[in-house]
Amino acid sequence: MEANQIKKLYQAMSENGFSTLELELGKKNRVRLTLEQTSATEMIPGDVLAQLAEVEDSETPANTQVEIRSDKVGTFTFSDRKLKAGDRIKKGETLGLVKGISFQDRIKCSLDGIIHKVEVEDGAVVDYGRLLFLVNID
Amino acid sequence: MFSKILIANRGEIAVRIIRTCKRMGIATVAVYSEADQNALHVKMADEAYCIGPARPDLSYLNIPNILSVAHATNCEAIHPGYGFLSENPSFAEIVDKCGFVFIGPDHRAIERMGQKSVARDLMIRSGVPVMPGSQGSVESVDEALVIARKIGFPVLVKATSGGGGKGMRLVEKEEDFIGLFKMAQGEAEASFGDKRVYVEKYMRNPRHVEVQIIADQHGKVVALGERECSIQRRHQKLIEESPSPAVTPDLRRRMAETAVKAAKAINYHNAGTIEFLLDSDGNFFFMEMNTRLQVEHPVTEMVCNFDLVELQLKVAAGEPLPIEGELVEPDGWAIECRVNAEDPAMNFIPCPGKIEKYLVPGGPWVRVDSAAYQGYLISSNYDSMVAKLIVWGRTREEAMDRMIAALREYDIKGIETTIPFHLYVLQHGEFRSGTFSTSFVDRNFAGFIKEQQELQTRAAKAEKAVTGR
Repeated sequence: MEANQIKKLYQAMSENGFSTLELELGKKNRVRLTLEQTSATEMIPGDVLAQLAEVEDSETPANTQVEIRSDKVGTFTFSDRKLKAGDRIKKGETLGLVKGISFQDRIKCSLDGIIHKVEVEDGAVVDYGRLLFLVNID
Repeated sequence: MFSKILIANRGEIAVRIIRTCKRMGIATVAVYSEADQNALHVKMADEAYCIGPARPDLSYLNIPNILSVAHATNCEAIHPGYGFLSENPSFAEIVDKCGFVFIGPDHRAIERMGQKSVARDLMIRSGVPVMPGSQGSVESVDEALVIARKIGFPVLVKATSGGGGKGMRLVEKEEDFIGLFKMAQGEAEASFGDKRVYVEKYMRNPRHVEVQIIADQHGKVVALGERECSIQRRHQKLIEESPSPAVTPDLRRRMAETAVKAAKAINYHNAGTIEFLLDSDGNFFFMEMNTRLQVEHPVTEMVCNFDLVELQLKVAAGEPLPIEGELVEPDGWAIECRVNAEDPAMNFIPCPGKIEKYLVPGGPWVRVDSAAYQGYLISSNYDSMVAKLIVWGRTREEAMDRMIAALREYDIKGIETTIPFHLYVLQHGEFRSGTFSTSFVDRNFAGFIKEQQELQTRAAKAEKAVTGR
């Protein structure tokens, strides 16, 4: 394999967020290219994608804000109460439902906190990764 | 007619389907993966929903998410495009059970044609010529050897559930048979979870000629001429044309009659393609049936003057086919080149990446089916096709020359593409003569490499002459 071929492969890898690439060249040769990079995007599996983010705020000391996203596709409805900013929520409380054709997914928060912002309307069609709530964690 | 449909696909075919829907006043819902947020089909559709991460099994093959979008957005029908879920009988069945119309054939037809040996048996019973070989699958190697001896070597051992050359072995000599038969069985089991194989006569240097059919739900089947698809590399088609230079009007009529018979045998409706192997004496044999719209369908559209997606939508909605007779004769000649993000000089290695510059060819009778644009990132998660370049001419000669001009005009920077290889083929004496077979690419690849090297040397010399260094 020539140097410019390897260069091209690395370029393709970095442009597509791949960190390793294994090539089989004939039966005997196996080449493994490793590209160290930090920018690879990764989705967190699980029912609720709660990405912890440190939010800098000038007035209050640093608090922790959680994004609650849907990892299912369907129609969103609030569950028991229509949540609004400032509402206190408890760990494990069902905030809403995403109803698909063959399932119903409960949207929960894994910690106690206060709703910072509601990003979804009742009855809206939500898709994969759609932001539903911003929650300030206690 | 439907008022709103979902397109369960991406790339150029999703764009292609949306275009026809827009013209017909049908609202469109696109689905996309996280890798396709900036894709053209997402921008063009009336609505678009993300259905999962880049990995196809989590997005474009995610049946619950796709159906949930269709349900939530009140779609009436689903067009599967090609690839992904288009030939998945379970998907077609679930779509139907959920109350949507599957824009394609009945799931039972997909199921039967997907099992190669079942399809073969069905064709034999319907009087469609098939390559001599076993009746259905063969279990024991001894039984298979008897069949192989009877039909004569070389033979092919093929996986019943196979496709794309996997679980397939060419056996040239009798003494290699037992070993290769077992290898094919092992590969079939590993690839498809089904170790059943069958034996078929191997034809040297055949042509790959396929017949496009369209059928309504009232029993009418029409053949829209044939396509020549012999220019392929490892079973991947590179250049297609319609009509085929090898097909005479009489042969066309016979192939069309056979294709219509095959479609009627399974109560087929919607668009489908019957692939045949054609020998140099004009004998043709059923190879397989593709129960979906094909990548190369535009060449048929160009010579038959029908929008195949429009016909698909109409027959799926229960309308009768608006075509007289059982065969549409071609008008003129159409050629398609698949422009892929691959470096032909490096044995067609995929070259995903960002398109830095993108200028498409134009002018009369030039068509570009693509989802690419300047700044678009070709992802390595999906196939490497950038565009399909299609031209029409009154004669084959005219179409070939128009294609050469269009390929030269196509300006794509940032990625390597197969354009240089297409230019080589379009100017090759054997291709221009029309007498070529499926072995064309293998036999002429070395010639292409040599020509590329000569071009590079000449360019280097010219530069030296100019700069004086």
